[in-house]
Amino acid sequence: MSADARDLLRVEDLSREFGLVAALRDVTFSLAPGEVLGVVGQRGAGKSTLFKLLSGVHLPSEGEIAFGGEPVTLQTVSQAQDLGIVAVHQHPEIFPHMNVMHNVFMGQEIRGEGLLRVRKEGRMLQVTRDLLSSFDMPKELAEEPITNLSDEQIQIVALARALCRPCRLLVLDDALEALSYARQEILLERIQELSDDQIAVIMSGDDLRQIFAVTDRILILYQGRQVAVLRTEDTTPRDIVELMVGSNRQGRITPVIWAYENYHEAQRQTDDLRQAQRELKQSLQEKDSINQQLIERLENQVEALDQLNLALQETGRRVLIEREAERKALARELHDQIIQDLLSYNYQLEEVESRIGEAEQRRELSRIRDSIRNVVGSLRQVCSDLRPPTIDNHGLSAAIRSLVSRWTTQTGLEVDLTIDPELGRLPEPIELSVFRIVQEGLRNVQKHAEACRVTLLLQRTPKASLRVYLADDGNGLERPVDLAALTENNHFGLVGISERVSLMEGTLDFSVPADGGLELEIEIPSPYPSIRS
Amino acid sequence: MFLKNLQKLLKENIREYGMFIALFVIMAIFTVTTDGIFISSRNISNLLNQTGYIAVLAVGMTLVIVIRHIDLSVGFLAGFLGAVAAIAMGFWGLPVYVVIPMILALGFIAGLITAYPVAQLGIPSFVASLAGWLIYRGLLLLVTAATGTIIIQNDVFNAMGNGYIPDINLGILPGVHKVTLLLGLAAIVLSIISSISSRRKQQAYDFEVLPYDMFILKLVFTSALVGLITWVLAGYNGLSWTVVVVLLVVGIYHFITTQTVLGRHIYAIGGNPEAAELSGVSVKRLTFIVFGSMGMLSALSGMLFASRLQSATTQAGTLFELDAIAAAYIGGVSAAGGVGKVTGSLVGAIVYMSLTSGMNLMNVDIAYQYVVRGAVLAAAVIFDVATRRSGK
Repeated sequence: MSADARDLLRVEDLSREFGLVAALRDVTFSLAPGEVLGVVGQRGAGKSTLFKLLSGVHLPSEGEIAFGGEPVTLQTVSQAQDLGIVAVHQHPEIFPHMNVMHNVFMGQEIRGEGLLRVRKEGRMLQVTRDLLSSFDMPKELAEEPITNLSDEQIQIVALARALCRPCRLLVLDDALEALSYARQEILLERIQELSDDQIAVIMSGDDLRQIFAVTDRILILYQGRQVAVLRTEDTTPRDIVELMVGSNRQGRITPVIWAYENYHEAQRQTDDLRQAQRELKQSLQEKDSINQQLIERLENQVEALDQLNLALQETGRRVLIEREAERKALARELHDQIIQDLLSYNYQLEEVESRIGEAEQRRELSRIRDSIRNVVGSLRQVCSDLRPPTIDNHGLSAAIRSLVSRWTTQTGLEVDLTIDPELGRLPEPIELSVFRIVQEGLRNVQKHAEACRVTLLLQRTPKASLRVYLADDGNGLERPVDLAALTENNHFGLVGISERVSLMEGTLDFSVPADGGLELEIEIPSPYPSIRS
Repeated sequence: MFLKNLQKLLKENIREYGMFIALFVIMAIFTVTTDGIFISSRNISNLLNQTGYIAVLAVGMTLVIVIRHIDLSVGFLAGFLGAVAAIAMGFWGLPVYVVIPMILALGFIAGLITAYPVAQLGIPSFVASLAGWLIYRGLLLLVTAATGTIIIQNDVFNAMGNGYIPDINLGILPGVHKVTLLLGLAAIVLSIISSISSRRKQQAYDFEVLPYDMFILKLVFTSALVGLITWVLAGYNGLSWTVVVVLLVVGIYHFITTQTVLGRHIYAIGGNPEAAELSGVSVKRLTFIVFGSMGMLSALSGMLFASRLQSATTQAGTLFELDAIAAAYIGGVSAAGGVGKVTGSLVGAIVYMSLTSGMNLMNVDIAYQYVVRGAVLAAAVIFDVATRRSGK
């Protein structure tokens, strides 16, 4: 080694014995400011002993340390620290009753000016927080009791403790091992920065990749002896490992190298994989949460739609009921007021007619009276269309019978009518609806079917609901039956029927038999629960 | 919210507040059993004067135990130095203003002598200070052998243990010590101001601070406590010089342990000596300082005791060290080192002396007194250990 005067540290023949055991023998090297020296060797090779001699923990048995050009005897750690030699030891020691900040600043507190030189806790807290965040750790840890921290976090605290001291030589004994891959990278970067600031670093480690990444030279120890100091550029991990395990045992080297290289490669890949896994998990979680939101929104919309539908149905039912009520009122108005008035005018006219002698005028009056009677007749027809008078008094069967007989008279078509005698009375809205359905159905037959025979059947089914069956042998419909298309063509009849059926929560079936015609089959559940059982 | 905060505060500081609660309970019990004699101004004043020399020792002992050591020699060192003070004034004719600093310096040196084998040679402090206990006991017998009890006739010296601070006549509140009240008021005002300013400072740096309501509660509580004690003391002769000395000592040591780097390092050594050494804290140097301060406080304690008896006796200082150790443990000092407060030890000393005083007032046989004191000590340490475990 060249004994350059500009060397920061020069170590000559450094030895240390513990009892009879020689932990370190005849180590000699020098270090320039800003230089990074890696120290490698197997366990028990003397790495930690060397570091403890350099940082003032132990005194050397023999040999000399010169720092900054002056020979020094490092009696205590604080003496070494005063010179600017700061160490992070392999197993960080902590102060268990104190928080992270006090651990970091122990032995080098920031003091105020003045006689008493009290501690400046605020400044220390800030520096601690900055150091923690520079290692990607949460700032809040600064006031946390140190015993709550993980091993890795404690190692970071030990590093922070070293990094916040004024320093010319930083000694890192296996500082990387406890750290995660990401933090190892941060520390390696930090070492590079320190080196750029002319701070010398001596570091040991098992991971040759890291040693090769940052060091300028590598010192190899084997069983306490210095085997070589090599420039990192001029060597390869293979050479280093050969020297580390003792170069005289060639046979065992290759597997060891293989193991070393593979071990570190595997470790790196594991870290990469872990990172990837974490990211994947995160993105999956994000996607999951978006899906979840979509599903929820969809569910909400479906629910809202359901409610809207219900409301719509309810509205439809109300409209129908209101319409029926209005029709009823109108029919009553016509029947009780207008028809009665007309009849009384007719009666008056008849009296006038009996009093008039002139035949011409009597004929004229008689003609007017006939017209009035016709008007009354058609008004009665209107009334009964508006409100089948029989339905209120005699029930659905009577109303249907009267409707059918009237219809037969009007159209001359024979209706094969069967009404279940067990039909009985149903609630007024249902009776009216069924009546309207039959009315509409017959009107359809009359309008479009050109049928010869019509069959109408009303009966109770074993399921205790009302079944309405209306069939004709007319033109029928185009198959398949499409209500939407019918609506577009202004054929509202079937659509109206289907609306009424659905409002009663019933079912409607069209079938178009092969030999023509149309069959409507409607089933309406009974509103009386007791009948159902 | 308020109750939740209170619960949290109590839970986190149960060890600290447990002592105050214990003191309160003990005082309440004695007040009832002695028909209020215990809480009378005169008794409280006496009690505090008796506590004085133990409290001073307990303060020093706190630091010794915190750095994981023990000092058994302090009792007879106090007795011996008290005798030296008596001799210096009585036989050598030295003025009291020379004697007091001289004895303090001697105590400091004696402490350093105890520290030497501990710090430099690595001898367990129990052994080293046991040797000191024997030596100082021998020395005490030696210096008092010729004369037996030495009467002290110096009024200034005797005032330390028996005197009260002077009063001024304001023409109001006859029978009440006005200066004591004013001092108490000043103490309350100062503590409120300093609490508020330190809270502001901490908030400025984003430290975790107490919730506002708890902060106010704590201020009100401590103010009330100080006010009450002042009022009780003012009802008799006011502040005694002993109490003034104790308050000064506690104040200085409290400041050192909580505010200075030195104090932080003492606790660091107690927590983990190896780590302290590696952090550049000189364990040796601090061991010398702590034992030195212990020796100095022993000297002070010895003088307080001699002044109270107005004489130096052959038995002075007997068992002081164990009383001081007990007070420190009752005051929450951890036997494992690294934990313990100076103010806690003061309260511990008051608790310990309250037991003695109260049981004396009740005419309890001395045999039972020892049993009760032992039980309280055991309970205090068990409580300490149990709460620490649950805190982890």
